[in-house]
Amino acid sequence: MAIRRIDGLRLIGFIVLSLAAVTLLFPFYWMALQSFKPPTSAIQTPPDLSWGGLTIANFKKLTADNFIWIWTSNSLIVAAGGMFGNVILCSMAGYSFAKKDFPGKRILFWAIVSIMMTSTQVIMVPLFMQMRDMHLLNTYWALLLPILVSPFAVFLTKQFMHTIPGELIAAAKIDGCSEWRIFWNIIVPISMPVLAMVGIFGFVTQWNDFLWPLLATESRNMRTLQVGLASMQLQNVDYGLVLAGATWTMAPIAALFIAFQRFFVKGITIGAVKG
Amino acid sequence: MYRLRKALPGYLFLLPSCALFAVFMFTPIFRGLQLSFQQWTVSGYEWVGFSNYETVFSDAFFWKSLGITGIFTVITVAAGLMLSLAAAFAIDPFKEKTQNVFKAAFYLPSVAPIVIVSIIWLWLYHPSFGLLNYLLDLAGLKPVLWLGDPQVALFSIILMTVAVSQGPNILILVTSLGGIPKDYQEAARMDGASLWQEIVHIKLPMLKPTMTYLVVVNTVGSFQVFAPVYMLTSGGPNRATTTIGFLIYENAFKKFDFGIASAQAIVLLAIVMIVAIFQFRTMAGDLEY
Repeated sequence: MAIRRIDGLRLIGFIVLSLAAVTLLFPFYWMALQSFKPPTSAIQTPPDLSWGGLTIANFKKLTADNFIWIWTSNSLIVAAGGMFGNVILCSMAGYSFAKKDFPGKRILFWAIVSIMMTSTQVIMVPLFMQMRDMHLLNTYWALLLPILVSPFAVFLTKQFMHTIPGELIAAAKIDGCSEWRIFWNIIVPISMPVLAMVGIFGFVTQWNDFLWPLLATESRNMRTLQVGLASMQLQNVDYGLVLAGATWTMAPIAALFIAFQRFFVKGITIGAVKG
Repeated sequence: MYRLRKALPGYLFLLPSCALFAVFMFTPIFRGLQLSFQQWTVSGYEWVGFSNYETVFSDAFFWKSLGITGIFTVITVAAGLMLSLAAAFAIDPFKEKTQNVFKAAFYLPSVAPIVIVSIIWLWLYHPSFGLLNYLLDLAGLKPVLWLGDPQVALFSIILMTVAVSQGPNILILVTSLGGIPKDYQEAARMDGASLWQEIVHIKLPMLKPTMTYLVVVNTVGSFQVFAPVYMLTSGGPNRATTTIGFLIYENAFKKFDFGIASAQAIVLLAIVMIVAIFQFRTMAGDLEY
């Protein structure tokens, strides 16, 4: 009896979860579908959900505009910067915190981790003024410099590298390995799972970021996709074009998500759940 | 000398990231504090003591935006975590494969850029051809001005935020639930505990550390909400959705009143820190049992 009751509950749970998931994903499906339809289709009631009359006209129009290419390459530069910066610089920091001993280690570590708790707004205004004073606004430097490192990436890599046995490092030292070679030829290969995670997170976070690129760039050709898309939405009544832009911007994230789902799940939980 | 030599590699590995943190995160925090005591004009700045803070505290809009932010935070965090908890309990009993499908489905909306989510929800909320009003019409109900009605607009932003941002919460809670030793469950069942008793007396208490963490992280995030406000309502109608995050943006980058914006940011930081510490204290108080 008891088992059957639990099965019944499970079934209800399954149905409710499925309904919720479909409801949440439906708007994205609608976006993708409408981007392949004539512009007027998006504003029809009842919503036009048929598969008939698909066209790539919106994407032709979108890609005919030079700015979409400029914004896309800007976004790629920023996202790649976030990815490589976080992977290389933060893993070096993580390694130092996990395996080295030096005065001030704990204070430095907690100072970095505590940045996660400060609000973005506190940093935004002074960072903007700082960049203005350095004459870096509206350049790639302004977009890249603040995002090359992230406290979260330092935290993740440190957690992972803790588990690497110290004997491995000691043995390499006896064999005469330099500090850098130990890091590069031993630590980095072993840490690939966490580095992949940090890299993907860095890429997605920077690809998606909105506030800082909005503040740091002024000219249309320094905008990232997110900021460009927002301005498109605010000025445009061509829904087909805006939705094609949205699908364009979402596609790389969706592809990364489908390919590396495992890493996303792990990355989210490793920081929060004590194992 | 020997000690320094031994410590040197550790410092060198830290140097690049610490330099970047120092210049682009710590310096701005202190500069922000400094800015909050200055008044900026085209010709430069002057020190004005606490006058920015006096202006901020005597500004009715500031208090209004604090209230709006408070409502936004309390509802998004409470509703979001309750839904996440329910989802996690529903996902927990399934086999790994089924679990992964649900995890992915709930997580995908949270990795979507907020700009895109907003563009889609602008359609859902559209007064004439939006899906929500179409559904209301089908049900024979009157259309709602989701983003145009000052009474409703904030709740529309809350609804969108709660709907799309539960992915991380659900993942973390499912993982925590999976980590609870099965012996406890079996023992409880042998003693004849009902499913409900098992959840309330065994699982919820075991989830407490995770919940504490999630409440704090979600609160810190909610207090800063900016992009949804910018995209959906620009703070309107009639300032009904002007959160403190948006107010700071307006003051700094529309009115170029850096001193006022910085004072508001410092107040925001102070509130966030007090709330975070308070939450850790009250929720983690009886952790050691």
